[in-house]
Formats: sequence, structure tokens, C-alpha cells
Amino acid sequence: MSSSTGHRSGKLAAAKSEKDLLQDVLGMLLRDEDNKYCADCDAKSPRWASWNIGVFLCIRCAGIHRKLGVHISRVKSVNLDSWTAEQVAGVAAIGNSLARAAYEANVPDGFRRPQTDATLEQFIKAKYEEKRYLARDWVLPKPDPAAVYDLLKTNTAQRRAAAAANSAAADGVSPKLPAPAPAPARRSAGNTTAAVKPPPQAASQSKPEKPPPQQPQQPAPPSAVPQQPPPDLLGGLADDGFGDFSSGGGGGGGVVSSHANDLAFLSEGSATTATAADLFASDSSNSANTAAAPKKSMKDSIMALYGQQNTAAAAAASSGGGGFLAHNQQQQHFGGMQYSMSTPQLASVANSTGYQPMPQQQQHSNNIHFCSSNINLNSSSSSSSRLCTVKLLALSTQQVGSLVRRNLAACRHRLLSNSSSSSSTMDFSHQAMSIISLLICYKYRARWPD
Amino acid sequence: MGKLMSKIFRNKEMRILMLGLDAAGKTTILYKLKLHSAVTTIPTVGFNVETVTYKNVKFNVWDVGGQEKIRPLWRHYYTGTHGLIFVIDSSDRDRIDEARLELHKILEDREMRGAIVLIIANKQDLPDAMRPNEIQDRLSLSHLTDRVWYVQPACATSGEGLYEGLTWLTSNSRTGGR
Repeated sequence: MSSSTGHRSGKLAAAKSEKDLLQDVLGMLLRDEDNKYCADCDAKSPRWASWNIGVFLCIRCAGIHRKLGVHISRVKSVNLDSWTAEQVAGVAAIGNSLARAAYEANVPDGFRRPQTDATLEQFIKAKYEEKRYLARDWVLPKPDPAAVYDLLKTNTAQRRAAAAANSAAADGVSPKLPAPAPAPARRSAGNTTAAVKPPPQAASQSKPEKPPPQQPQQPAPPSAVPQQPPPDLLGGLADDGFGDFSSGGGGGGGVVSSHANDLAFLSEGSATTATAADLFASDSSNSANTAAAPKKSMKDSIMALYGQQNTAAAAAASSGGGGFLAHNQQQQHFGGMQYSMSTPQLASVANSTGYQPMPQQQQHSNNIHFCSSNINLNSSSSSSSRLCTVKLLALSTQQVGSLVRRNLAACRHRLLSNSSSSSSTMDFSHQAMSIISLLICYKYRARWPD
Repeated sequence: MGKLMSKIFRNKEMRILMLGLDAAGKTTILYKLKLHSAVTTIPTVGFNVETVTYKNVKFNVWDVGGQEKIRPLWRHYYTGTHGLIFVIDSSDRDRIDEARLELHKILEDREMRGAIVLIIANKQDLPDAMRPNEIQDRLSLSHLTDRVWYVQPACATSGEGLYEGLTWLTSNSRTGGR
């Protein structure tokens, strides 16, 4: 991998710059339009990868991939691991679009990308372990470590232009591509089989289907609208903390907001539940920002967590990172999984301005119930939230503004006053959902042709 | 009164630090012990801590993320550790050398002098998993002459071997460096 043959110090310098180079290549690959969404669940800004399969993943799917075992998938973090040229070549040679074209060539008609943890796990197992949807003529492209550096060299100029364009686009959250091109011309290892079929999504997109009962993976026509950045108007009527709220919903939950369907809406509801939890826990999450050593990289991957819709991830983000260097006894209770698994953290985190840990036993008994009840709740109240959406389109912007504010206040009030009883969490998520619908209505309203 | 009771029944407490390469199964082990169920985890960025009580011993188990760039943070958790659980992915032959280096690096630290070492050879259910004997060789454990150590084969998802490991920890904790 390294061609440097100089004396020792020269070698050392070369090794260091080699690591940097590889990191640059990874960054470049991540900026590629192909790799901007998780290969399995479509979450935004993946920061993990399976280098033998050659895909970029979100942290949730990375967890599922690790469960498959190293004989199927070898998972690495883009930011928290160091990579060899061979590993980088693995993802460079394949990438998300090509891998989708290959591993999802035979998905059934009307296939929808699963979003819940359980169905996602089943899907990933079927996709990579059983290879149920694999294209018959798929030949794994041979990674070429040497080509990685060429890729970097030849693309430097191109990359600069792209980076400039991307940073401009990132400010305005560029609209999501429906289905990335199956075989982009960029492939450095040219020995890929071009015979793989294009992703079936492209086909299924063209034919009009009846309104999907489950979360759609295709952005429906109006999806371009909610993809806009949080509107300035919202910033105007934001009371304290509201700015955080809207940016979390617009930026972090971007994947979800690209779906114009109610259910996606609802999963966004849970995304904001998380964001709201974070909002209230700003004290504890601030400590994540002040954590010393791997601050930057950790924060990056923490931000990646926000791309997910489960409350769990966000809780891990607000607690796991903060907990790292915190040694005092109170902080230990914010350590990652414990909270990320026990979902009543809404209440407990809200209480935690005084860092008051809940009895652990109680949390664990609550957590499983909540997960399931949350889903039920979402599906049962979908119609009501839709109604609400329609109704609100008729409201004036001012009315919407005051409604949002009132809802948020009510929501916070509930959070702070109630304990972690399941009814309160239900109420809360209902509230959060209605706020989100309001927000989105508001966005629609802002650009609705009158 | 509570103090008296615990004095009578001698409730022991042990601080356990659980380390190992990423994807070894540390978090899965922790929550298998705590919740008695195999949970789907996400990579740990930070740490998890749980108390597990087994046979009148209260284990304070710290599970710290194992990604390469956060391994330098492990040492911040060394102080006061009674027992180290080092988790190995027995099916990952490519990285067993990396695991050996990390293990010996941990054990060189002054703060870890007093800790006993339980190596959990996890994922024994997978095809072609390395057996405890092989792991002992590849980790050069025979070089550890001044340590109490033990290799426990286990499968975190089914729970096999985990409580045997805890039992080993309790029965060796008071020997204090042999």
C-alpha cells in the first residue's frame, strides 16, 4: 500500500500523510451524491461503513451489520477508526448505489424500505446474509488500493468545485435524489460488471400506486417543499429553545421530512420527540460539546445520530458523548445505552436539570412497553394528525405561529410536570407530533400558491 | 440498619471495566447480564454503565466504546478497577493481533496492577470461532506471570458462559494478584 522507500523519518512522515490522504478520500466519497444516504435505511449523512460490502451506513444499520458477524460485514466508523488503503478501496470500488443495484436487484414489487428496528434488521439479514435480492450476475469488484490515491489526485480539482457546490447546497439542504444512478462513471476500479440491473425503486416510482399504507421510501411530489431549510419566518416567532427545535426537525430529521406521507410524518414525530428531549436536556448535552479529546470526530458522529428517527439514538447522542469524560457519579447515569434503551428518558432527561437519575429497575421495565406503544400510538393517530394538517392549511401565518408556540409551551409543561408514566409519554409524543404537523403546515403555508 | 444487614450478609461490590475491540460484543454482554435479553445495539460512542447483582455481589460494570480513536480514553476508567473483562470476537481472526496489543497495553498501566483479568472469548456460536486454547496462545497470555487471568468461552446472545465468568470474578477477586 505504501510505496515510500525512504529512510525511517521519511517513512514516518509518509505514513502519517497516508492516513490523512485516506481520510480525505473517505471524505470525498461521503460527499459523493451516491453516499449521502444510508445504504439500508436512507438515513441522512452516514458516518459508518462496511468496507467489505462497500457501503456507507448510519449508526443504527452499522449496529445491525455488526450483529451479522465479520464473515458477512466488516463495519468501521469513518471518523472513529483509522482505515487502510485496502479498506478504503473497498468502499471506493463499490459505494451505495452500485451495492443497492446489486443487493436489491430482486426486491419484490412495491417494496418499501423498512424503518422500524425490527423490520430493518430482518431486511438487512435478508439482503446481505441470505442474499435474497442479490443480482444473479453480480461479481464483487476487486478493490484496488493503488487506485485510491489516483482517485484522490484526479479528483482534487473536481472535488474542490464539488465541495464548493456541496457547501452551498448543504446550507440549503439539497433536494434528495429519488434513486441514485446505478453505475456512476466515477468508479475507479473499472472492472465492475455493468450488467447489474438498475435499482427497482426507479421502476416502481414510475407507476402510480395506491397511497402507501406504510412509510414510503419515495419522496412524493411535494417533498421538495419540506426539504427547504427551516424558514426564516419560523426563526422570527421562535421563543427560547424553539430555534433548536426547528433546526433539529429540519436538519436532523431531514430524511423523514422528505416523505410527504402521514406515517413518515409520524416517525418524524418521534424524531422530534428526541430532539425535544435534547432540547430540554441541553444542560447535559452541552457537556458533550465541552468534552475534551476527540471532540470534533465524536461530535461528528454524534450529529450523525440525529439523522435517525429513533429516540434511542438521540438519547445516546445527548448522553453517550457527554458521559465520556465525565467521572462524577451523576453523570454516569447519562452513559449511552442505558438511556438509549429506556425510552422514558424524556421525562427523566427533563428532570435531569438537577441530574436526578431514575431508579434503573423502573426504567428498564418501562422501556420495552414504550417502544411498542409508541408505534401503536403513531399508527392509530395518523388520521387525526392528517385532519389537523388539512385544517391548518387554512390558517393564517400568524395563527400558526401562536399555535405552535402554545403547543410547545403545553408540551414542555407536560414534560416537566409529569413523571415518567406511560400516559405522559403518550401525551407528549402526541403533542410533539402535532407540533411537527404544525411546523410542516407552516412551511407549506409559506409557499402555498394562494 | 441497612448497613448492619449488609455487614452481616457481606454484600461485596466489584468495579468491573469491560474493554475490547469494537464489535467484540461488550454492550451486548452488558445488557444480557442486566436485562436477560439479547438487545440490538448500536456502536457505543462513549460508555455504558450498569449494576448487576449476582450471588450477593454487586458488579459495577463499565462498558467503554472500542473504536480505535476512542481507545486512548480507556485509561480514564482504570482507577479503582477490581476486574478487567476483555472481550474478544472469537470469529475475527484478522484482528486478534490487534486485540493482543491492546490487552497488553492496558495491563502495562500502573492503575491496572491490581486488576484480575477475565478474557471472554465471545461469539463461540459462529462457524470457525477460535477456541479458548487458541485464544490463549494468540493473546500471549502465558507471558502474564504476575496476573490472575482466565479465558471464558461465551456466547453473549444466548448468555452461555457469562455467569461462569462472573463466578470466576467473585471467587478470584480477593486473592489480589495471586
